[in-house]
Amino acid sequence: MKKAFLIISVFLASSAFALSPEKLKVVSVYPDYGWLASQVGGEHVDVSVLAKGTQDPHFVDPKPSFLVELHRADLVLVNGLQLEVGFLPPLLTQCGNGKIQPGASGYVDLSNFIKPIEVPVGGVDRSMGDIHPFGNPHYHLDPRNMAAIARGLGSVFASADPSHAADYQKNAAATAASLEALDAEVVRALVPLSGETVVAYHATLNYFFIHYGFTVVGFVEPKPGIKPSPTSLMELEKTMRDRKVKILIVENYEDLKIALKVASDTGVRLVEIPALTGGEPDVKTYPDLMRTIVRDLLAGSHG
Amino acid sequence: MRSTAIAAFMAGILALGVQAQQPDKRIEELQKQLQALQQQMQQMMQSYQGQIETLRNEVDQLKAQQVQAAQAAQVPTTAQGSVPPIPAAPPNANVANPAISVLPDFTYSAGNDPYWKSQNAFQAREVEVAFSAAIDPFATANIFLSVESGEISPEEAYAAFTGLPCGWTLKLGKFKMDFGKQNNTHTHTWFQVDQPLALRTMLGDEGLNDVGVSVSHLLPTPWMSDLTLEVQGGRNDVAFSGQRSDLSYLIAWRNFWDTSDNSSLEAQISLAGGKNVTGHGTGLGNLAVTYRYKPLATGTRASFLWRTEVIRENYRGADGLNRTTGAFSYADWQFTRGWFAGLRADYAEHPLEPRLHDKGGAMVLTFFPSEFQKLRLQYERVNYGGIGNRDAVVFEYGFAIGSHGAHPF
Repeated sequence: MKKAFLIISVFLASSAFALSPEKLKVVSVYPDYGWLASQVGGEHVDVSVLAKGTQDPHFVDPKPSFLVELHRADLVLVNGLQLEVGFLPPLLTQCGNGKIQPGASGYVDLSNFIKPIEVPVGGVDRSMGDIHPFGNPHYHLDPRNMAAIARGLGSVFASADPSHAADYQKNAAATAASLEALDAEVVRALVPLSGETVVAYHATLNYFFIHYGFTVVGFVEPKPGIKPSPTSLMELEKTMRDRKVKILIVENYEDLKIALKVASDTGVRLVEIPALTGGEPDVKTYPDLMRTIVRDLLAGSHG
Repeated sequence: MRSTAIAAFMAGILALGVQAQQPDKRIEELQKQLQALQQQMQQMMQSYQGQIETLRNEVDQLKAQQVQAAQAAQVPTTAQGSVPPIPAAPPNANVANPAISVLPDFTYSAGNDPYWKSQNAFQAREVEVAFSAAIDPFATANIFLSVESGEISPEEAYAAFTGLPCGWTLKLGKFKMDFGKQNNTHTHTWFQVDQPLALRTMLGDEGLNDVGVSVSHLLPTPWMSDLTLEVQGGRNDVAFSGQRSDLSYLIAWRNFWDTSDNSSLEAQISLAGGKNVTGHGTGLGNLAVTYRYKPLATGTRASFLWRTEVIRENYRGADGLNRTTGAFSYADWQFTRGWFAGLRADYAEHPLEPRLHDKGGAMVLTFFPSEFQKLRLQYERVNYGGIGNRDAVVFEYGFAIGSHGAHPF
């Protein structure tokens, strides 16, 4: 046993394998930022994504297969605001890559580039549900935030790979401009829904609601991450009737049975949306995602 | 006369010049007034712009607070406007403190199973107190204290180094050996109320868990594969003696494949060795296979896990070599949000009495009201070698408070 142990130790000690430094290796936890990294990095980056667009972003399994990508990464792009707290820390601990540990330059918390909303004032505890103590983490559904992140990634990539800094900065500016144009497009498209009264399943779309002028009267989850009880659903349905809510919006990874029941009880239209890039087969890019959400909302409002 | 005419002519020229200069001055004055007005206007515009921005920010902040309030209290709200400014940062006074969590686990048992009969019907089986924090930029600390029957002991307490050269990871301290999958789990992560018979019988209640050093490295394979080497002090109730010079060693080779977007297969081979209380050697082998199915398709809350471990133990004592085998296999099926049903089959031979073997099974129903509470009901029947069938019904309740880090998959 001892002999085998020593032989394998020597084998491992000599197995330090170097990887080609040709491209900047970027691992994005979520697909929206993976798309953004590809736009900003262009041909100089090799982007991989951990979570699928069809997954609930709160509950991604920390599969060991993710370790392969993380082990080789130069940069890891995290959403931050504790969205990944349930699965990313053990992966980072196990991946054997000091470059992307929290505090290192390769650990890029994208929430640093945006202005979070709903930062709790005062104490936070779990009696408030699964609340995020640093603010609502679903900021990607406001294209202006994505534009800010694009500019930030331009600087991050330029710093990590100075030989292509000019390309990164140019791509970042172009991507940010295209996202601002996308924002203007969404604003125009949603004019018919300005002030629309809605109920949502979870607080995923709050950045979207605030920016595009929706009136939110409640959530199916009585508190973030908490399964609704019959009592909480009765109260919600009463509110929906009193406020003449027309649309119930649910992320397509949530439990549709509950949303369908609420929609059936109240007669409102259920609008099922993808909340992440890749959340539906045709939603291959971030602009696809935003346009699909707009399309679904407009279709839902017209019955 | 001539001089008078010249004087008159000059005076005329001068008068004309004065008349020509007066409009220029007037224009200059007007231009100056215009510039002053423009400056005033710009200053006013800047002032108004600043006031508008301030008011807009205040309005945005109020609207964001309204949405937050609606989320918390389900009160109607109107949410319109742009993204609010950065609110005040949350208090950061605890930044130097470790993340602390407490996870009590209580059981109520009934029946004639000797394992459960030796304990009180109602018992606080364990209270786990966990601390974790970065030690410095190079290592993180994880400390898990176990409070059982009024005694506090470090279940695990180690530093994990993640920034080592060439992709190595290193653990120093007291930790559970990477022997199979079940050995290095904590009570609150088990899929059943108790540990499988094979682990209890062949490795003792505490399993392979001692002070030592662990290194691991990913292998350059197309799939996820890593190798772990560990050396520990070798203290164990059954397999090893824990004498000063009698260390225990482990080599573990783990492989993981994504068989599809929805499923994965994991296989691990672990070999451990050391000296037992007779001064002779004990060799342990473990083959652990886990299959997981969790559809990523939208709107589902179902999952399935199947795990099997086979343990082989070669125990050389004063009377020769004893070869024993143990195994367990369990399945856990999530059939809706928060609800799980499971089955387990057990088999274990006794290392010190190979003629005896135990076999049994368990049925489990678990409900998680939230991520932080667990209720579990388990029925199990075990046929103990030399005793016969024994039954137990166990109810378990556990909860978690504080910030408890995620465990490895």
